[in-house]
Amino acid sequence: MTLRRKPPAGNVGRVVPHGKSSRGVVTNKKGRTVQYGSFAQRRLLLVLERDRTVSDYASRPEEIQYLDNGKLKTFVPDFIVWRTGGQVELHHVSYSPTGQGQGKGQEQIPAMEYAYGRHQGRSVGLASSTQPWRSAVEKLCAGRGWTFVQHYAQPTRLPQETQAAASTHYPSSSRRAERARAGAQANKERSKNSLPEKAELANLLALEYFEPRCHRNDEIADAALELLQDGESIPYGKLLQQVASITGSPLPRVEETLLHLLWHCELQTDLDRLLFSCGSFDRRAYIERPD
Amino acid sequence: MASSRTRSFENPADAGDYVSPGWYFSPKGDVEEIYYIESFDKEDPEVVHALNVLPSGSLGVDREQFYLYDLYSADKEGRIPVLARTLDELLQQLESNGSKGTGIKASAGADIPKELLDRADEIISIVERVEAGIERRRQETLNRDKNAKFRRTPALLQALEEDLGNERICMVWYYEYRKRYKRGNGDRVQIAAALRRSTYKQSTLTEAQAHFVDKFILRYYGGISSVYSLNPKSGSRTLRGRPLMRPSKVFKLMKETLDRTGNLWIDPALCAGTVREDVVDELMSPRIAMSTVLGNVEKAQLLSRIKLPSRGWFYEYLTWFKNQPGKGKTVIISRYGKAAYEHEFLAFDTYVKNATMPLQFVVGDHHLIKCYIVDREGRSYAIRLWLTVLIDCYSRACLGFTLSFSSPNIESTQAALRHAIWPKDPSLEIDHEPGERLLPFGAYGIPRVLSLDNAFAHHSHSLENLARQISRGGRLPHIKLEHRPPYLARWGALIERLFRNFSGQIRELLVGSIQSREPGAMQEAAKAACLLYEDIYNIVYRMILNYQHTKHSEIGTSPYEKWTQGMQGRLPHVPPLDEGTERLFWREFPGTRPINQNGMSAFGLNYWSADIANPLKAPRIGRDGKKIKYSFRYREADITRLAVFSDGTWIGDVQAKRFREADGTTQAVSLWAWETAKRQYSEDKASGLVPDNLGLVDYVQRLTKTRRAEQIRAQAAFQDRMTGGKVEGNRKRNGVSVGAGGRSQAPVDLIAMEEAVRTVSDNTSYTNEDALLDFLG
Repeated sequence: MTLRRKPPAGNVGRVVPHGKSSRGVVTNKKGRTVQYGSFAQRRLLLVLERDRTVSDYASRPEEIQYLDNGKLKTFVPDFIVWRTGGQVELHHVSYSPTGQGQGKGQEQIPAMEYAYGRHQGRSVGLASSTQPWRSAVEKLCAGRGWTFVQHYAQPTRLPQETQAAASTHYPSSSRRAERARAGAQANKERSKNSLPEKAELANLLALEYFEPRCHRNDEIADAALELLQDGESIPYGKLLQQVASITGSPLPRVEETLLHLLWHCELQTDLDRLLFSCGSFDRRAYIERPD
Repeated sequence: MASSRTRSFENPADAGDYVSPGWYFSPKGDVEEIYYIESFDKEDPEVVHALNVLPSGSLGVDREQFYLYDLYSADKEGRIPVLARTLDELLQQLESNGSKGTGIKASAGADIPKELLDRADEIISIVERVEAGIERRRQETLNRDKNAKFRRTPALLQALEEDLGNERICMVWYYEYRKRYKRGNGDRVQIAAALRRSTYKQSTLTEAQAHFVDKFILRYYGGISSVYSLNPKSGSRTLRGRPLMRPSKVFKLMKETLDRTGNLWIDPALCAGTVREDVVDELMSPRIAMSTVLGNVEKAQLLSRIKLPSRGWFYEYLTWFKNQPGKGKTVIISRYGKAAYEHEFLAFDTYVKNATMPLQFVVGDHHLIKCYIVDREGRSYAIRLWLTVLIDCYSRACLGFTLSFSSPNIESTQAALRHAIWPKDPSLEIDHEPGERLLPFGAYGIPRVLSLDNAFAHHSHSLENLARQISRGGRLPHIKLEHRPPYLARWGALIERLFRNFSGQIRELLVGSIQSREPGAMQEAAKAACLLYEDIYNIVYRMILNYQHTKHSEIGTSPYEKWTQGMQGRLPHVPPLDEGTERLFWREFPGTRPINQNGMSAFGLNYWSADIANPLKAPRIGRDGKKIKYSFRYREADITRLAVFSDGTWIGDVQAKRFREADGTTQAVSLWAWETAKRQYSEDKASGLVPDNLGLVDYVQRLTKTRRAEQIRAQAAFQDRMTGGKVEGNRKRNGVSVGAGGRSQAPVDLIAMEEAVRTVSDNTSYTNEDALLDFLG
């Protein structure tokens, strides 16, 4: 018999270890304990935490029952998200969008992706829209006026415009935002590639370090925002020096505040290139205020 | 006795160097069971791997392991193993020993094709005929003239010309034949075997193909060092509860990968020594387009086109791979270098790679120190301590540690966190000589991500709430708890390495340290133990200080320097260490309690303090009219004091009323002691050894009833005497029975008593003694 802890408040169950995936708990922006069951889910949490339109989110909110070939099964969405506008969304992270529902009521995932998912600690999920669980979730969401959003750990190879458009949902750079405006099919596909990857992921994991309010100094923050008021982009090194000279604060303190502002999207830069190296931020990166 | 080439081993001492791969043996001296020695085990030279010999004389596929001792010692039934260099010799020996079997027959060269044997016969025949011809000619020459000089080459040419008839060959060929004849010792089978092509039974795979197959087996088949368990019902193997990938699935993966890469794979021959694992990862990742890989010239030039091995070959290879106990590491290191092995099995590297600044990733783990200590009082009770350490992945600096008597639990992890978060001053924490300069500890702060193993305690609400509440509502960093995948110890390799380092030092330095795993060594260590808890604490502390300031081979500098460099002049943000914060590191009770008129109840005790008496500080009823419930934290070592929290905010401490002393303090009682006392009380109560309240009440009620009845009887008798005939009526009315044994005398006694009392009261010269004597007699 396995001993299991009770889940955090509001969760219907504990996440269980899945292959070689690492799991854990984080505290979200509202002080709620949120579980994640794979690194892909953790990537989504980074996005939700930064998104200013998200007021709160929780993990494993409820069990949704559905019939699959006459058998009663249960599906638990990974997260529930409450937006500032009052919308409620159920989010689920799957591994691949290419799976096909075949036989025995279970998703047959291509062998290579399955194995890769196991090895890399990604959650191997179910993806096809023809799946019984998916229709059950969509039906439930439609009934409640909610939205169901599915994310894929494995990126879909979308056209460049669409890919860029997808990022408008979670703007991370001005360049991406510009390209996003050009994307016509953005709304349809944007949720499919919303998980940060590679350089952006590395940057976010490092920027997350500066999330707490203790890293913010209001005087420094005001000075920095004022300098960037006219929509101009300033290299990080230069901005650092200017703010330090205006406020008379030591550089480490100024740096902390600027990185805190970057995490909270009060400032923005191109996160698609690696910005952190040996603990220091790239001095040549251009910083600007979001639109 | 065995011949020079065949031997029954009766004396184990002289057999060790006799056995060698390629030999045959019968463990029971029976022709029905014969094995072929394939190889010695590299890990354990006393173990040999052997293949069974089929009745046809060819080798089977069943591999078995034998201890050398088994090969040269008789079994329980006294049967002595027989061993020989060839199968024929073994069979002859077995036959001479009287073992007759119908199975295996002497069939030398059974696995060699007939053509090769015929050709070997031909070689032997030619060489022997020619040599005989040469010898004959030499004798003839000597017979003719003893002093004549015999010339071998003309004689050879003559023999080749005249003695071979139709099989005549040139001299060059003859020398070739003679060479083979000598090499095979004139043995037909050996010569025939030597005629096989040089690539016989050799793999035809290219280096790139071999790397490709090995990589997939290692990554997806489950790994050589995986722990398997067998389901007795289904017979299926599992990797500690998880299904293993089947060979067919692995082969499918290989096929899909080659389809995706266009049959391209990294060629170790082109990699100049070390295979680039990043390229391998990209080739195996379905997320990375091949065009991206090929677009990089540096990577593209490492690739070569390979062909997928056949399914049959793959299965055969996999079988061989599986039957190499403990050799996976050796095989991979010998083929592709240590880096490839570490990349595959030492996943901790991920943390190290991702960490870009101190405190970003911190790994924690527990370790049972390999040294016994003794208790302070008796100095005789030997016990080992658990060490809990937190280490920073970026700088490898130790953030904090704790030593605990109990096995890993919630408190030990929280205590280590408590030690890790605030700055440490070694001069205040450990004993040192006056004037001794201690190295600074350096590293401290709130970890952003704390990686722990899957211990039950690490999933506790107490730790989760601590991780949340330490952030003080988001003002400070909160701790993200990450649990490493279960049963994959290598994810914690970063800290395991530190433990290994400490273990080595402890073994070298300390009295009472355990030198080996032998039970005897444990007993010796326990006997020699003399150090106390604080000694080990000081020693471990000093070892950590040394570690912090010693150059680390992987980062090229000391952890302390790396830490300082990584902090870039910043200081970690930590909360002030006040009473409320201190209590966050106590263990949280998994539940809540209301405050009532008796205070707060927990562990079968009532707690109270002025803090919770203040309704402004700790209101009892909420705005919804319901009782407010409070959480609390406690220490197992002392449950007489609890810290009460409301929504993560410390309200105050409460003390157990029962253990409160006159001066307001409480005597410390551990949870264990209290639970034991309660359990003991319950057992005593069950066996009737202690008075219980119900019994007391029942006793009092019964006594009261009796006394009440006596009182009524006394009053009735008195009244009867005073009023005459009314007494009987009153008796009946009051239901007093006077017939019960002895009690019918009560009215007489009462009358006498009343008279005595009256007499005494009337005559004041009576003393109490006189009255009593008068009454008695």
